[in-house]
This record gives sequence, C-alpha cells and structure tokens, in this order.
Amino acid sequence: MKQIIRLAGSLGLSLFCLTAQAGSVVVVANPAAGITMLTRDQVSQIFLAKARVYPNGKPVAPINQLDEGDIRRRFETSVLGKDSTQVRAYWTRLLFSGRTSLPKMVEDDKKVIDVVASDPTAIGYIDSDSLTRDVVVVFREP
Amino acid sequence: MKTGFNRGMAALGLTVWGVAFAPTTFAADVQWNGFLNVVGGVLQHDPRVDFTPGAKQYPAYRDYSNDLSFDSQTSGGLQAKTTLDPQTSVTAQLYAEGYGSEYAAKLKWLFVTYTPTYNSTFRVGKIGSPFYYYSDFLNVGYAYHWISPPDTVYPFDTTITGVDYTYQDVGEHFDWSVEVLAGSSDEYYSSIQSQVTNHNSIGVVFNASNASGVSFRAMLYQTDSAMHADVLSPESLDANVNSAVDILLDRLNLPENIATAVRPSLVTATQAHLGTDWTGADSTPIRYAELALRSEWGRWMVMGECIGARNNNYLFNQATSAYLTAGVKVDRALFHITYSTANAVLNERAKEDLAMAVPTLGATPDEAGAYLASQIRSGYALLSGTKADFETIGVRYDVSTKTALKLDLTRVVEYASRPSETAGIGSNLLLRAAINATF
Repeated sequence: MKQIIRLAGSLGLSLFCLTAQAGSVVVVANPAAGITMLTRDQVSQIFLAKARVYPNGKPVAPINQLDEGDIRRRFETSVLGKDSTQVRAYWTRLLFSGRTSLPKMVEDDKKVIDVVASDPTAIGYIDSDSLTRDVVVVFREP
Repeated sequence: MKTGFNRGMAALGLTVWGVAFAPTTFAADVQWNGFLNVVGGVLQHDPRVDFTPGAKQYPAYRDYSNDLSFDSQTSGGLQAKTTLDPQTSVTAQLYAEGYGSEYAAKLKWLFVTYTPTYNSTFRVGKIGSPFYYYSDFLNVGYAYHWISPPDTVYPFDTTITGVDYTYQDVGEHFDWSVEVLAGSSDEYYSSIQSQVTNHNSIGVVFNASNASGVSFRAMLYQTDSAMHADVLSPESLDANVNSAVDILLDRLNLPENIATAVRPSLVTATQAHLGTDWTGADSTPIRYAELALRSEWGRWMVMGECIGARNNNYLFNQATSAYLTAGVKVDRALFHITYSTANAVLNERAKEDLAMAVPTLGATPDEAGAYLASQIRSGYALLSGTKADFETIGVRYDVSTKTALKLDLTRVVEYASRPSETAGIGSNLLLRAAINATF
C-alpha cells in the first residue's frame, strides 16, 4: 500500500514537474555557435544589443518575435525583467540614436527555429513545447 | 576643405534618400522608422515682464501663453537607414517642429556608421552632440516619461559635423562604453534667436550599467564658440542706445533745447563705450561637464542628472543645472515627479557694470555715456544670468507598445539674478498633454 502511495506520489511529482516545465521560455542557439549555456545577464546583454559576441567571441545576432506575441511578453518579463513598454522605450532610444538596428523579427517559434538552425550567429527564444533537435537550449526560464 | 566636406555630405544625403526612394529592390533594404509628438499646452498666466516696482510678473515657458497652443513642442521625425555592407550603413533623419521653424523639415542627422569590430563603431557626418543623457533621442518623446526633459537642464538640441568613435564591451554583470568625438557646427537656435558657431569641439562620454538596472553616464566637452544673437545686431544695439539716452534725458527733465543739443554727443559717447567685445561674437572656449545616474528596480525608477558650463564670456559665464526625477509604474501608467533647477552666475565684468554709480547732473557726456553703456551691457547679461526652478508632476499612460499619452503639470519659478533685482521674478503654471507615437 505504501508503495502504491509512493508511486502515486512520485508520479504526481513527475506530472507536476512536467506541467511546470511545459510551456516555459527557452533561449536557443545554433549548435555551431559552440555555446551550451548562458546566464540570464548574458542573454539580456545580447537581446538588449549590449553584447555583439558570445562569451566565446563568436558573433551573435538576436532574433525577436512579433510585438503582440505572448512568448515575447513572457520572455521580456521573465528573462529581461522588463515589461513590453519598457523594452519598446529602450529600443526606441537605441533606434533613433542611429547606433544600432532593430533585431530581425519573425512571427512564431517555428520561424525562430528555422532561422537559428540555418544561421550560426542567430539566437532566439521559443516556447519549450516547440523545441526541436535543430537547435540547442542555452538558457531556460527557471 | 569645408566646402568639399559639405559637398560630400550633400552627396551622402542624395545617396541615402536616393536609395530609399528608388523604385527597385534596393528600397527593401532601407529601414524606415518615425516618431511623432503632438503636444498641447497652456500657461496659467500670459508671460509678463514689468519693471514697475511691485508689479506681478509671470515667467515664460518656450512660447506658450494662456491660450491653448500646440505649436510650441509638436514635432515629428522620419529616419531612414540603409546598409551598404555588413560593416557599413548610412542613416539620415528628417525632423520638423512647430517652434521657430513652422514645421519646415530639415535634415537633422546624416552620417555613415562603420563597425570594424564587434566592439568598435565609427560615425562620420552630422551627428547629435552628446551633451546629455537623452541627447541621442531628445526629440523622441516616446523614449522618456516626461513630455519633454526639463528645459532648465536641456536648453539646446545641438548637432555637430564630425566623427565619433565608440568602444563598447560587457563584463559578467555589467556593460560599458566610451565615446570620443571631434567636429564643428554652425547652427541657428530659435530658443535664443542666435547663430552659434562652434569650432574645435572635442568630447568624451563614458557609460556604464549593470544587471541590477543602475546606469551611470559622465561627459566632458570643450568647444570654441561664437554667437551672433539677433538682439545684438548693430541695428538693435543702436536702437537700444537711442532708447537709453532718451530715458536718461527724460529723467533729467532738461529743457528741450538743452536736451536736443546734448543728445548727439551722448549717443556718440554711449556707442563708443558700449563696444562689441562683450556680445559673444568673438570665439571663446567653453567647457561642459555632465553626470547622470539612473536606477530602475521593479516598478520604480529614480534618476538624477547635472550639467555645468564654464567660459569667460560677458553674457554667459558659469551655469549649472540639475534635476532629480522619480516614478512608479502602476499597470500601464507611470506616475512621476521631477524637481529641476538652473543657476547662471554673472560675469565679474557684468557685476562691475551693474555696480557703476549713476552719474551726477554735472557729469560730462562721456561719463554719462560710459554709465549708459554699462547698463545696456549688463541688462543683456541679466537676461542670461537667471536662476530658475521647475517642478513637474505627470503621468505617462502606455496605450500600446507604440503609443503613449502624457499629462504634465509644471510650476516655473524664476528668481532675481542679484539681490536688488525686481524684474524677472515670479512663478507660472504650465499644463501640457501629449501623444507620443513611434512607427
């Protein structure tokens, strides 16, 4: 009986973990970039145009998703630590300073994977449910 | 050299706009962005300067009045950027505003960006002067929480033609950059109705920020500056001399025939003593320094910035200004409060002029002329030697990720430039509403 309870307990825990992980935001890169993990600060630096290279010195180009997308809002809130209007204001400053261009923008997770898989410099964020073997996860939303 | 450079700039402008408007596939390579600021405002009292002792005075704010007006700060810009190769791009920005130019579009920025390495960037052409934290996007209302940054600290929006180099890098939890620039400028400023020429302008800017949301900025800048103010043209000065002589003769209450006889020699003596070495038309070095600190955490934001200018000009001597602002975000609204202050100290020679004793009735025309000249000169110096405080409360409401509505209430207070001054003192209230959009 105890074993059944333990089994049910561990099953419940597993299900809970699966539920918690499903749909989390992950940052993905091209395997050829040679990056296996980034910290939150490093991801922020890349997506806020403060870093133009990976920590290993290879060039990096962030890929953004559409303004209205839920995944973008979640990425900005949980990873960049800003809401969408704060991020927009930040990019407005950079854009009209003429010092940088807006990141390339694509419409969904599949497009992000397509771009990242075909470009060693590209880095993007997707819902973990959309993951494929074409890209590597370098940061996972805790 | 200058003509050649200007021709080069003109050709560059034609290139970027030509590429942008070319009906070919090149047009797809141009990144277009724009911004619009529609600002309406009204002052509680019409601005008034009244030299009558005890009279109520009301400071001005740009050209607002107690009738609702939209032209003072409504503006818009259109920016085109085209990439020539992976390391090189050309950026042009057209800008139009109601204040001073009645929405006539002008080419505000035009520069080539060259990125030789991932850490280095060169910009060559007509670029913004990096005086302030918000210099790079001063006209883009969407980029900040106010309707406009405090005028006490941000009196000018300037550009230079030259070159700047920026090196940027990151550490584990922070990022930093250093920018150095050199160039010159020759622009007309509506706000002071003057043509200002700057040569040998050099500057350095240091920026740093960390992952906790703290940003720091420091700037040093030096330029050789000459100013030709409309109000200091020979015709304006002659008119002032004649007016000052008439006032003096009127106060002396001399018989008409004596006043008529004395007047020409008095005018000549005043003109001779007035001179032109104080008008700022001769180039003099000016040094600027700026510090800014900003912190954002969660829903809160606090920021301070101060700037100082120092030169040996009769009209503009030492000036310091600063602001402190804080805000809290509640859902889509950002409520904020700002205190700003500016203090311009009079030049020693202007102080001596102000202290000059009134000539006695038996004074010679030369002595009287010297006195009148000193009062005319120092009168102009007092116009720039002001002390003012602005206090603003406001709210920014983000309608969408591209549009913000704002409402600012600003109290403007001007103080006497010297203890005995009774003119230019008072307070006024300015209410403004704005829509800021980017596209």
